[in-house]
Amino acid sequence: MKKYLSIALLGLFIAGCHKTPPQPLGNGDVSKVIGQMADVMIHDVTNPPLASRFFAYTCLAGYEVLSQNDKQVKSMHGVLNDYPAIASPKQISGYNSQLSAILAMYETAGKLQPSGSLMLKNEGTFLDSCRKIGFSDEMIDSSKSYAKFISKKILAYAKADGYRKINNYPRYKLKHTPGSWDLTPPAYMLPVEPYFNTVRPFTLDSAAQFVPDPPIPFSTYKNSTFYKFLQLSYTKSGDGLKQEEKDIANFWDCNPFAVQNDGHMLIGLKKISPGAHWMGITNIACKQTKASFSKAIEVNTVVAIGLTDAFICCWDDKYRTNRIRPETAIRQYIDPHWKPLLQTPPFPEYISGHSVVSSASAVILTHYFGDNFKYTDNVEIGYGIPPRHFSSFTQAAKEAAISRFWGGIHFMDAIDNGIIQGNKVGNRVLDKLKQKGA
Amino acid sequence: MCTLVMSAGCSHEPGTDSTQPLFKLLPQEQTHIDFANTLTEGLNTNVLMYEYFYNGGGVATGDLNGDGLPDVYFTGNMTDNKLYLNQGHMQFKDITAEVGVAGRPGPWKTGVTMADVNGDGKLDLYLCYSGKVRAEKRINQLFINQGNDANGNPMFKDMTADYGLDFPSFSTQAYFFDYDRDGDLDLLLVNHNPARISIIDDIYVKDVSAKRDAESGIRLLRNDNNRFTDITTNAGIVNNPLSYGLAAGIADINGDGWPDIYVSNDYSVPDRLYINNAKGAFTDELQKQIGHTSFYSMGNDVTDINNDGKPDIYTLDMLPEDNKRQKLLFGIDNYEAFDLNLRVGFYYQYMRNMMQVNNGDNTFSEVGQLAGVSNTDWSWSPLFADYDNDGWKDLFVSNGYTRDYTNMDFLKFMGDNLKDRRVMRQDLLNIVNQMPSSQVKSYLFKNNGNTTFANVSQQWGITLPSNSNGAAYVDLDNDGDLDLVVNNINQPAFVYENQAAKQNSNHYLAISLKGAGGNTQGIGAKVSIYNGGKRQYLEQMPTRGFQSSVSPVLHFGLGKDKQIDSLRITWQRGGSQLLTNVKADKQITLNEQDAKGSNPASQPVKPIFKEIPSPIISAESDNTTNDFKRQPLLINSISFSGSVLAKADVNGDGFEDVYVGGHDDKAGVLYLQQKDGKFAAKATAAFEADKKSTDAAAVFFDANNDGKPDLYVCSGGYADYKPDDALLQDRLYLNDGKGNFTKAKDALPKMASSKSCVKVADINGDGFVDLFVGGRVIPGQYPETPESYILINDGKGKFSNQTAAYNPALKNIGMVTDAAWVDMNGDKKPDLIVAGEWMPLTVFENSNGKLSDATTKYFDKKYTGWWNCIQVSDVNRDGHPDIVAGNLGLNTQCKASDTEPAELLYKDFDDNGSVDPILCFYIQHTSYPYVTRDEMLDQMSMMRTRFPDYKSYADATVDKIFTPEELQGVKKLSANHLATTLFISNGQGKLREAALPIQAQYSPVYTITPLDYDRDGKNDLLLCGNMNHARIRFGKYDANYGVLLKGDGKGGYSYVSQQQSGFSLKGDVRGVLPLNDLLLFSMDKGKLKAYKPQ
Repeated sequence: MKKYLSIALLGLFIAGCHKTPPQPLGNGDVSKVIGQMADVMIHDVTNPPLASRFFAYTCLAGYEVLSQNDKQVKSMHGVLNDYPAIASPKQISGYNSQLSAILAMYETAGKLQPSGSLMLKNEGTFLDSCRKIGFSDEMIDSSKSYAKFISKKILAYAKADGYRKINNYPRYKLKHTPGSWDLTPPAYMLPVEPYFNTVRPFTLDSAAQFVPDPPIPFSTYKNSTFYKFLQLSYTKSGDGLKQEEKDIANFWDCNPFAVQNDGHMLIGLKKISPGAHWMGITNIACKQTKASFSKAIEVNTVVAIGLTDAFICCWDDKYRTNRIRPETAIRQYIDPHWKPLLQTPPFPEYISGHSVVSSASAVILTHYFGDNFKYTDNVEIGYGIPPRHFSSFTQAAKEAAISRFWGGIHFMDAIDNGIIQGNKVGNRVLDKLKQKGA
Repeated sequence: MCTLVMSAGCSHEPGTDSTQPLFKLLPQEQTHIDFANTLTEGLNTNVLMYEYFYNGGGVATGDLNGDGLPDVYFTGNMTDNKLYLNQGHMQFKDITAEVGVAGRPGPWKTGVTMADVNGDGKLDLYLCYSGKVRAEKRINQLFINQGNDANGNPMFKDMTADYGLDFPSFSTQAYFFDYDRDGDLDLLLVNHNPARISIIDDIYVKDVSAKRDAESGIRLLRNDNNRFTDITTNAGIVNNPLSYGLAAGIADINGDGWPDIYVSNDYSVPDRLYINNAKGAFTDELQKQIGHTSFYSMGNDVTDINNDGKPDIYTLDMLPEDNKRQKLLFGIDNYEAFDLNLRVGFYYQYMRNMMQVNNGDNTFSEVGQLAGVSNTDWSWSPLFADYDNDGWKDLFVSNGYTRDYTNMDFLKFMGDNLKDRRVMRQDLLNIVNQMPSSQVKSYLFKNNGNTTFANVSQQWGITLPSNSNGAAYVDLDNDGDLDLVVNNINQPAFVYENQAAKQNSNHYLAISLKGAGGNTQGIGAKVSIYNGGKRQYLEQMPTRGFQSSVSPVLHFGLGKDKQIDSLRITWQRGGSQLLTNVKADKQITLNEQDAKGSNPASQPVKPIFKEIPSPIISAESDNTTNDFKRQPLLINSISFSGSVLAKADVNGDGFEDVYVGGHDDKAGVLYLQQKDGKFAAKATAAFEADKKSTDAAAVFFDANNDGKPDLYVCSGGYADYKPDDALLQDRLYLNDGKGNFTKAKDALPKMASSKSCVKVADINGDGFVDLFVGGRVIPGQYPETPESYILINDGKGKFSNQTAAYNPALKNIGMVTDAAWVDMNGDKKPDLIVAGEWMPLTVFENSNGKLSDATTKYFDKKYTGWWNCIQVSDVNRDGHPDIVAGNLGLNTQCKASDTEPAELLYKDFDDNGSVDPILCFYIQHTSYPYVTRDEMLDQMSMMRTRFPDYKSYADATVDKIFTPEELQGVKKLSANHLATTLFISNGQGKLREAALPIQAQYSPVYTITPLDYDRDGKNDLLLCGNMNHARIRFGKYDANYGVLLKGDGKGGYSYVSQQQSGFSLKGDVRGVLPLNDLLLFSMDKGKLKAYKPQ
């Protein structure tokens, strides 16, 4: 009791000023939270669109703390759709804004993610290490109060984005028309997030702001364009793959849950989602450029926003077009024994999500770090996937896009148009930020 | 001596002596049976390398050396097989090494059977092999009994090649029987694919079905003078890689004298019901005769379970009994994947044991849940036999799995440790090694004699958890009761001594068969015994259950009967013999040579009713609506109510005309009856204009007092309508007397609920017909209460809503399904009875312009059920109305009683604008939500953080799932009674429950039709229903083919068999209309069927 009292008194004295920490936090602290979130997502098998949404709101909580304390960091109010004007909590003082930003991220991820309790455990470990480097208990307590205050506001903003209304809607029904999407082997899982287009985007006017060209019309006539596409997928993405193409396809697989089916025994093989992969690249760039704490938060936030909006418009396309996957079409019309290199993810084909989100992310990262940014991507090294070297984000995005063709899970038009759509989303995000004069 | 012992046991009722269970597990020291099926797991020997690594071994029993004592053989998958010679007094001697019947050492031995293959009177032994081993290690072995050596030991010689059986297979078990009735034993080899085929869709199945697979597919081999010839293809047996045969049950299932076969297939490959066409081939009639099957079908048993003389079929699966293991096993109902299985022809399969009762007319009613034997976890061998000698076959089920990897947490979270796929195999093995065994016990069920069973496992002596597989029953000590021998993984085999002979005073009769020719065991012989009105029936087929063969001595328990009136045996080749006044408590031998007669041809029963083409043709709609997509936590689907039927002579020509209601964008149609009894559709623009509505009920009555029957049609429906949809408005069509109908304008108030029924009566006694209209549901908002209506007629055909005046409580009385106006209290005024889902049967007395709830005056408690329909008539002719009410029935997972009610909690828990209905019912005396974790998370995203894994949800009750704040304001519906029930009035007009035959509980009852089919002046009943559009986890309800009940005029009813009644209504009956001398049946998608007495 006594101890708390003295803390409170101390708080009174230092009201109004925030203390300098023993040593400033860095981009590594930001990337650590993101990495831990990705681990929890793997555990929970969080689907790709939802994962991006978790990243976005979590980063926004950190960003909001900074924007209230760092004049260089502009508020998202007026930039993002419906983003509230959040007044800073005047009654809280003695906090450290960087610490508070990290804690706001933990608090938010802790509430959003199904196994959020693991994030709160991580938060505890993080605070222990802060204490070791000299953060006082008072500063930690104040920073946490601040973080919780902001986190609550961000969670309220998230709660109103329409995601939780989704379970009101009728569940997806297969169309059963020629050329329409069907469940895919081996687990025949139900489609992921058929109503993600009803989630409020951050920067888009609507999910349908950048509707791409329609997919090549389905046809089984040998002379049709579609059939040629089908043949192309069959010959080029099957046994005809070169080793390097296989390596690339595996590198960008990013399937959160590939099911291996052994009799009664099903085993889910897990990887990080495409969004988590690009968050990883973001933090590689931050580290390589020794980005400041603020910049790291900002770039992570903007990339996460871009990812979410990319998924929203891509998912709008997917469930509007309901196009058949190569695996289904090839097995039905060419070779019943054909198997794609990668396991087909459980949602319609058009357009390629990896193409959209990779391109959007590349546009944003190029804005922050410049073109011809050379880096080594070792994000999935823990999954037995060797690192790859890239000479620019754009090159990486293009490779990610074409990898879906080699993996046998996308047709070429879904990839080409996916890149176009992703570029539009990335630029839209940047435009919105510029309008505010960021 | 014997009598003394038995009378001493008189005071003991079976199973009631708590100190002495029926079965006593004998210690190894006494029996000297030390066999254990020990598995050694390694990188190359584990479940990842071979799918059926934990399926266990078999047991075979029979008297090999002719000393009158049955000997026992065990197979070990990896360890050595053992043969134990019975030395009497429950002592055995291992003679495996001496007699040359050990088989090959090492992996992988499976089933074993004893049969006199060469017909020399001595039992031979056939051993099955499988596993991921080289082909030469998978050649099954036939050991021919060479007779005894000087020490009295039976000597064996491997003669596989001599008999033409030296080919490799992946075998589960071999079945010797005389399929062509030529007097020798042919061979059915049940094989399985050693690898899992995981891609099971239309494209793949079509492709792979065309491939033959001699090693994995099932084969039939004909015995030609002790050489076996493969006749699989010509015999019509499906042989392809889609084969996971785990058992066959062989019996004369359709009673035509020729042996038929039921094959259990694991995974999604469908089971088969091979009917012998008497010309050397079989036809799979499963989908014609059986409504649904087990999913992962394991062992089976085909035998007469209900003592009606017809073989029934029982298949095992893996549905656990307790809530926790169920919750760890189930994800979310995947309707699309289920439909895919249907599309590829894999039929309706659900994960639970199925008990298919043979209706004798080539249909089966699956009643495993009603019987209480549907949930026995991961089980292997079912063995029906009369263990307590009371005259009814009881049931033993072996159980257990060495590695419990069905756990959903395993699927979802074990992958956390498998990130690097290059080292997966070792990692997976490590994980496999960490998996605990399922730790369950085997089951014993006592047959209650009415198609239900009581779980007496503990009482009868099963106390140890084990991983038990093959098993056999046999009277090892010849004391007149059946002992049990069970093969266990990693644990010594169990020998259970049956103590019935010591404990109770029940009698028995054992019959040993001496067949003529090559079939010396008399396989396929049928024995019926009769005493008083009782009958029992057995067929000789020792190979049954799982990978095992039981005693070839037939065993009948006789209860208190010291003798039987008669016994008839009919041998497989047709010879028949009748014995009379056979004394009990001994073993008799029947010789085929003595069977000089032939089985008197059974009288062909002329069914009472016969299906004829419906005089009104109504096509089935192609409606593929799935109500569970609209509200995933809906309990039962509400759509699919078919074409409603109403009749009246609309044009005054003296013939009854029929209105067939509209649905699925098809307008209702008026059919005018012609002089010749044919029906002609009459185009009616008014009906056409309303075709977007779903007709839920229709009635003809004179609404505007012009003497002509007008038509009132209720609008209903669920899936495609919004709440308050304008298409839910009811309609009144006025008749000009010539059958021309026009819609009455402004005749009805606004009525926006989806409705179920309209019932007419002159409520206020003013001479004009008034109405009660029942509200069924609010589309998309189940189980919120819809509005019901009292509509009063102004005499000119204009109706006003006066519900509030008559009783405000009626407005939101519940989800009404049916109602009736009847004078309950004899005051000559119509009173109202209302029934509904989650509603008590409620009586409203009509007096002084009010309808007052008088339920307690008539019922001694509230009978709250999932009522579908009610029918009121004076069944016992005492002047007081009696009620028959159709309910869900008792053949379901959901159970309800006064102390353990089913409950439905509902509220918008997550405040997202949709109601969240949570069904709860009791499992093992605790109420749990039926909703699985994934379904809960799918309904409410806030639950994702609450239950990050399956384990955390597995034991959760409602108060653990929701916070006290969330439970504030929760609404609750409750049901204490799910049986279809007859309520009979007493002299005071009070209604009390009276028993209906068990067949009334087979399936949900949606129609109750009173009739007097035999014209004896007594009220008979026809109950129809079923629910084919059900939640996957509940499974479709299809066991009712039209249950005809003969009344005794006093309120007693007896079931008329399907064979006799002639009803064979497959599918959902939603309406029945007696028309002239016909019965017209309206099915769920609008098809009409007709039956006529003959």
